[in-house]
Formats: sequence, structure tokens, C-alpha cells
Amino acid sequence: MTVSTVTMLIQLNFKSGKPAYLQVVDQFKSAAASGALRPGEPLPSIRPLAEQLRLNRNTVAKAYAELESQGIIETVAGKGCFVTENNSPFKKAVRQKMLSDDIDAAIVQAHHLQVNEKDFLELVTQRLGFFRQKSESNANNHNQKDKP
Amino acid sequence: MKTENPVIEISHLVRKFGRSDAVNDLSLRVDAGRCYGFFGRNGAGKTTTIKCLLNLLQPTSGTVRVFGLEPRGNEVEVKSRLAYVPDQVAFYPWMTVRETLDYLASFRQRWNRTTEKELLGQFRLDAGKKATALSKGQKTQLALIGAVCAEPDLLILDEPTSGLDPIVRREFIQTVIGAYQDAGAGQRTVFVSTHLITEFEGLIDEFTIIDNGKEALTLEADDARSRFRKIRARFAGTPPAIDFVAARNIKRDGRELEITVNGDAEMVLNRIKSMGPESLSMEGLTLEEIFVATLQ
Amino acid sequence: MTKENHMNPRIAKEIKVLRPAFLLTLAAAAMPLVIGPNRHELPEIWMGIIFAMGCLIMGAEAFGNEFQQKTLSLLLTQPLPRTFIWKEKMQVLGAALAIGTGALAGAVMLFDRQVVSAEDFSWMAWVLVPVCILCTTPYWTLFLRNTLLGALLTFIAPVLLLGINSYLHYRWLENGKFIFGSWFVVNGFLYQKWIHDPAAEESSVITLLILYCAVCCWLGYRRFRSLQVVDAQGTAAFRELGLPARVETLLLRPFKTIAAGFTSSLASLVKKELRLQQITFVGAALFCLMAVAGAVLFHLTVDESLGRGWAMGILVADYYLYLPILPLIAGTVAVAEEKAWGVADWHLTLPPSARRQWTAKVAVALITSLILGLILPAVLLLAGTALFGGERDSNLLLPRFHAIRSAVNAVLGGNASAIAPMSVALAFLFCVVLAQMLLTSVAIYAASIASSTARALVLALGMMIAAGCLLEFCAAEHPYLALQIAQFLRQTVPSQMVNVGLLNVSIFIPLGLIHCLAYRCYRSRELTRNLLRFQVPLMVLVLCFLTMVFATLVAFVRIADERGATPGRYRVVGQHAL
Repeated sequence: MTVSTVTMLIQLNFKSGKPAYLQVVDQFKSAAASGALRPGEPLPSIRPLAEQLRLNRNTVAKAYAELESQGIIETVAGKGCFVTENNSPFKKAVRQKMLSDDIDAAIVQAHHLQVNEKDFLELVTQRLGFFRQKSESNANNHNQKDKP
Repeated sequence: MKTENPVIEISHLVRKFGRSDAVNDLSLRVDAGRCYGFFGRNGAGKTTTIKCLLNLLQPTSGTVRVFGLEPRGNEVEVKSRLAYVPDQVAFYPWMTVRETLDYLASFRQRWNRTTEKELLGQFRLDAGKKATALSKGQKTQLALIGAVCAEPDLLILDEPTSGLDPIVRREFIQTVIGAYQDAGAGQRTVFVSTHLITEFEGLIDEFTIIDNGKEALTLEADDARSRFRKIRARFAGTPPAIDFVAARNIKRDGRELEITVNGDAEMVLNRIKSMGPESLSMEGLTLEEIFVATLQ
Repeated sequence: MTKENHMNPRIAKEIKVLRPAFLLTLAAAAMPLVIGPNRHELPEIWMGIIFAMGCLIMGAEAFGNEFQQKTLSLLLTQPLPRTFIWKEKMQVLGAALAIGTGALAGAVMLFDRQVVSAEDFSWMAWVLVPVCILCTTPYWTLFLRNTLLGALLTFIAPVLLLGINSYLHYRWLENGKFIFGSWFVVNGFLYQKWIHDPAAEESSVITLLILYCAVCCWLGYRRFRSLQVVDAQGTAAFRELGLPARVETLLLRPFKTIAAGFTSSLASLVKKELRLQQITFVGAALFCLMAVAGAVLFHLTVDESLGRGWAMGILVADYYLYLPILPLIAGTVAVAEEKAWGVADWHLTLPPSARRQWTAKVAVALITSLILGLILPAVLLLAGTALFGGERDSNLLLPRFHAIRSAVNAVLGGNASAIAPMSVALAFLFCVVLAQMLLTSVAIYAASIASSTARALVLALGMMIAAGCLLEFCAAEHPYLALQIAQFLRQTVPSQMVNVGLLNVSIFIPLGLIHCLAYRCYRSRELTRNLLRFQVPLMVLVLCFLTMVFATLVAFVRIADERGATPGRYRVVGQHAL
């Protein structure tokens, strides 16, 4: 996993009102969830990533620490950071609680944008389908690369 | 996370020029390992403040401390732990790039030759070329190399990237993040005064906006970005009068209404919603937009 | 832009640029006013020299200023034809020179007629100098793109031309070859001078200079019309007093290898300061060349011949110009160059303390000035008189050390035939050293105020004129005060050593004061009104104090002269005065 691949996945938006480290964390998580980051893949170290994103090193370090505490990545001494298998160390209830916070935020936003409940649920189904498709096509691509 | 010994501590700094106040009662505090932004309009007093930090100017009143010491009385101790990149970079006309770096190295206890070689290669600077024959961007790069290789605990940058092309600007920031912060970000502090805020947005931890010599706003960058919101609404007819405390800038244009909010964005949003707009949206602000909003 | 404006802004700007040098010219012109009818050779020579320098700097600044301030691109991109700009500049320059010359002429006519009625006075010479400057300085400045080098070449080129002309004339007189003669014959015909009259040279000089002026004027005009603005950022930074880059690197290679061994912080500072002083070294080298040339010529020619006269002329001019001007140059380049490049501020943020940086700078400037400006000429002089001089009459050259000691003794009131003890003589020489350092310090002070090397030089010269005028005024107009002080000192402090010690101290005090002021100016870097309000009165006080000191010294010398003339008279006079 080169620095440039990672930076293609991460797009910082300073207008979103979200702290930069949180954006990195969230975008990493979504990349892992969609399969663009496979388990066991090495991540770039802090310095080159910070340089490429032009972020403060503390910010990147904080993002990595957060990812590690959430179990998305793990540090192997002497080798670097790697993406973990998709096993979150948290209990199911905790995980669901974390997810429900995000769902609440989406619901509030829907309210602001005046999207009603029916359309909202339709949209959720649509997005789930999109991620499923993406994951499948990524798996196909990786399979094709593995072929001689 | 306030540590005991701030790297820079300015309290109630006043500096007059003749009868006008260049800096009037400015206070700020920079802790170790932070990247501190110092923003202000042209002529707001940024360069004056920096000159007071470097003992190039004496404060009319108030105190300035760098590493806990006053620059005036402890000149050498303070200067040997910091490096300065000025806005108008100038070198001796007879010195080549190599000679300029050797000259700067002769004044320092530590000088990192490896970093120097690396950066010279990265910037593709010809060591045998006369320093004054370089382009403006290259001169700034040379000044930055001279500052970073000295491995100072504090890096003071005064409008370092003004007048440079975008690639050089990016490389500049990458060098600060990369080569300078190498020793452990907890020990290296950056104090950058600039009005090109977009470039430094990712780097800045905390910032102060100075306006007409006075402090206008001091916030952590993340805090600022989470508190400031821009709310746009379109009404069927003339937008109603807005009279909220939290609303900073209110712009009307026909049926459109735009409010910049610092703080209670939710409350303002709800109030506006209660006025029945046609459409309503809210977005965050970059540091540069926060700067503009604060000073307008 | 209406033509009815009170004053065309461009003309106003030109006037402003020329103003400092113009004031210097007026100050020189005003000297006869101050000196009055007491005619002394020395101040008059100085008046002439400073007037010429003022005119030179004016001429050089007219165009050189654009290079210095990098406003050339701004000027040449305005929608005005270049010929028009040229005309305006020349008009202002011409007016300034005319007024200056007029003032000088008026002052001389009114206050110092003896100059005019002297035998060797020539109106032509006095008029030709400003005309020459008007026509040729713009060309040299444009050619070299440098203010001070342009001024220098304006001075050197006619001297060379005249030297060649004189040599040709000499050869023609000697062997009457027609090839040399035709030029002089034609001139003689033009001026109705008899062709074998040695004064034919004079007329040829006039023609030569007029031709030279015309050619340079036209060349300068053409040059300006087609001037290209070479990129200011790209080429090496503008250096007001400097050698071309290639010559510099060539000459300095051996020094670089020697100095490469020293890398400590102080060594770096000293190396940099020495590099800044390089123009001083160049000046010293030129001086040595001239001195050697003069000495050789002296040796090769017989007494009373034209060549001998030339040799003496070269040597005298060499020493008289070099001794006062070198300290000024050493002092100004130390401070003013860095300011002009914008390096001064940034350098103060480097680890060595400001005091250390300033000390290194001043020490290098003073020592360089001392070695090159005092010790070198003295050594050359001694060597020269030892090798070539012998016992010949040399009333313009300093006598040897033994004679110095007897002179010191006489000045300080000892027995006319005895010589002063070694320690007193050495102390007196130390006085001279201090005086030279004072000159350098005045230049350092001027440079710490002024914004460019040229202006610093103008300021330093102005201060020297003021001092010189005050000195003349006191010593000449009111000798009694000085005499009384001198006599008082003699009575109360008979010991020669103490007298000399007092003299040393009294030069040391203003020296120290000037350095303190210079350091203040250097550190504050902007000339606030407060600073000036504080410093100007102080400088005036220093000046008065120095004037008293020198007036007393002059009084000492006068008394010694009188004693020398009639040994017994003094005692009688002294007793009566008591």
C-alpha cells in the first residue's frame, strides 16, 4: 500500500466541520469496510502520510492511535501498521451503539434536508447495494491480479 | 494540555511607532510541539510581533518570553534554540549555496548534514550556484534548509510562501512536516505568520488572528472548524430581520440570506427554520473563511 | 498630468535624488565664507576636492540612483519617450551643477579673492570640471550600471587622458617629432599660442577635454536610448562598491584556501567582514601601484624636470587623497552594504549576540583601516625615502623618525634642540592612530544612519567639512582662545607625557561616544525622530569638543613655529602674557 494509494482514498474536507483526524479515521474505516483496504495490508508510516496529506504529524498520529484503539489497524513492532481482520474487539452491543450514533446523525441530516422517512429508507437500501457491488468488484479485481 | 513551560509567551505586548500603535495589548501562548498560526491582514502587526520575539525590536510595554527567557537579556540562549525564515530572503552576493549553508552552520552547535544533503537533492539546488542568482522560490528553499538543518526547537516563519509558485509552496510545507518535525513532534514547535491560510490549514493546531494590533480570535483549529457554520436560506419573499447574538455576518441578496455563526449553530438553524424558508443548508468553514468572517 | 502643476513630480523626484550631494557641494562652496581672507593652502585644496566629489556624486546619482533603487523598469515602461526622460535628467543635473559652481565662484570672488588673483589660477579648469562631470558621468554610470564606480571612472578617465596628452607633449618637446607635434600644432593654431610655448599643452588640454566631453555625452545619450534592463533578481546582487564577479573569485582563491581551516563562529564572522572590506583592499592596492609608479618616476628623472614634477604630483595627490578617503570607505562598506542587500536584519537573528556581531564588524573595519590606511602608507613612505629619497628637499613628505621626535619635542614645548623622549613620541604617534580611527568611526556612524553607501559617504564627507570649517574658524579667527588654552596647559602641566596623554584621552572620548551612537543607530534600524533629537545635539557637542582639541593642537604648533623662528622670543612673550 503506497502513500499515493492511501491519499487517493482520503480526501480531506476542511469545510465539513469535522476534525481532520476524525476524517482520516472515518475514511479509513469506510475504505476497510468497502474492501479497498484488505486485511493484512501494510499502511504507510506517519511521516510520509502526513507529508502527502499536508497534515500535522500529531494529527496523523492521533488518527492512527484512534484506528488502533478501534481495532481497525494494528501495529507490529519493527514492521509497521497493518489492517486487521475485520474482527472488532468490541462487543456487539458496543459496536451497535457506535453505529447507532452515526445513524442518528444521518437521520438529523435527513430532517434538515427535508428527506422523508420512506425516501430515507429507500436511500439506505440503495447505499447498501452500492457497497456490496463495490466489494464484489474489488474482490474480482484482486482475484484477477493474483492470477498469473 | 497546557504544559508548564510554553515555548512562546506574549502578554500584553504593546509596541508603538511614533504615535501609532503597531501592536496594542497582544497576548498569546504557544506550547511545545504545537504548530501555531498567526494570521492577520497586511499591516496588522504580525511582523512587528515577530521582531519582538527575535529581539530585533524592543516592546514599548508588556513582556515577551521565548523558552521562558526574555530575548533581550538572554539573547544568545534564545537565538541558539530557534531559527527564522524571513519574508524577504536575502543573502550575501558572493556566497554560493554551499558557502551560505557552511556559513550558517558555523554559528550552530548542531547541524544535520544528512538532512542538508537530502533537502538539497529534493529541491534540486545546485550547490555551486551563487545564492543571489537563485529564483525567489529557490532562495526561500535555501533559507528553509538553513533553518531546518540547525535542528532548532522553534521555527519562526514570517510569510514564508508569499510570491512562490504552488509546487514550491507545497514542498515548503512538506519539508516543515517532514524534515523539521522529524525529531519528535513533541519537541518541535512551529510559529508561522501568514496570510495564505489555505496552504497551512492542515498544519495548524492552534491560531491567533490579529487585527489592528489587537488579538481578534484565538482558537484551536479543530474547535474553530466545529464552531463556525455558514447557514444559507432562501425565502419566498424578503428575508426577515435577524437579531441573534451568535450570528456574526449577515448577508442579504434579494431572497437569499447567508449567516455566519460562531457557536450555537443548531439554535440559529432552528430559529431560521421556524421562519419558513424555501430551502435551507448549512456547511462548515475553512480557516481562511473563518479569518474573513472574523475580520469583516 | 497638467503642465500647470506647481512642480512637475518627475523633476521634483530628480531634485530630491540629487539633494544630498548638492548640499555637500554647497557646503564646500561655502567654505571661503567660513575661512575668510586668511589664506591657507590646505583648506583650499580640500574645498576643491570636496566640491569636485560633491559634483561627481551628483552626476553619478542622477542615473545610478535608478539602478540602486531598482526603479529602472518602472521608469522605462512609462509612456514617455526616452529622449524626454534623458533631457529632464540632464536639465536637473545641469542646473544643480551650474548653481553649485556659481555658488563656489561667488564665494571665492567675494571672500577669497587671493585665489582668483593668483598666478596659476585658470578659469577654464574650474569651469571644465562641472562640464566634464555633466557630460561624462552619465555615460560611465550607465556603462557600469553602478553609482560609485561610475563616479570613480569619471575621475580616472580624464586623468588618464590628460596624462597621455602630457606625456605626448613632453616627448614632442624633447624630440620634436612631427607625429606628436601635429596635434599640438593644430591646437596652437586654434588658440593662437606659439607652438613651442610650453603653454601649448594647456590649450591642447582644453580641446581634448571638450572633445572627450562631447563624445561621452553622445555615447551616454545613445546608451540610455537603448538601455536594457537586465534582470535584477537574476544577476548577482547590486554591489555599490565592488569588482566584477570573475575578477573577485580569481583574486580570492588563495585566501579562500588559507581561510578554509577556520570554521568557528567568530572566524566566520571575521571572514565575512573581511570579505565586505574587499574594496578597501582594492583601494590600498591601487594606492601602492600609484605610489610605486611615482617613486620610480621620481628616481628616473632629474631634479627640476617635468618628469620630476609629475612624480611629485602623483605622490602628493596619491597620499592626500588616500589618507582621508580610505578610512571613510572602510567605515561605510562595513555597515552600509549589508543594509542595502537586506541582509542586516536577518543576520541579527543568528545565534551570535548582536553585540558580538557589531564588535567583530567594527574591529575588522578599524583594524583594516588602520593597517591599510596608516601603517601601509607610512611603511611605503619610509621605504621610499630610504631607497630613493636620500637627503633631498622633501618638505611635503614627512621627515624620518628622528626628525619626528624633534618635531614632537618642539610642539610640546621642550628645548628646541633636544628631541622628545621615545615614550612621548610614541604616545604622540598613538594620537595619530586614534585620529585615524576617529575618521573610520565617523564613517561607521554615517553608514549606520544612511540608507546606502553613496549617501553614507556624502554624510561622512559633510561631517568632515563641518569639522574642518569649525577648526579653521576657531584656529584662524580666534587663535587667542586656543593660545590661552595651550599656554595654560604648558604652565600647569609641564610634563610632556601628561600633555600627550591628555591629547590622547581627548580624542578617545569622542571616539567612544561616536561608537556608542553608531551602535544605537545600528540596533534600532529606523531613524526615529527621538533618536535624531537625541543624537544631533550630542554630535554637535562632540564636534565642538574635537574642535577645541585640534585648535589647541594647532596653537601648540604655532607656538613651536614661533619658537623655531626666534628661540628667545617666546619666554618674553609668555611672561608678558602672564
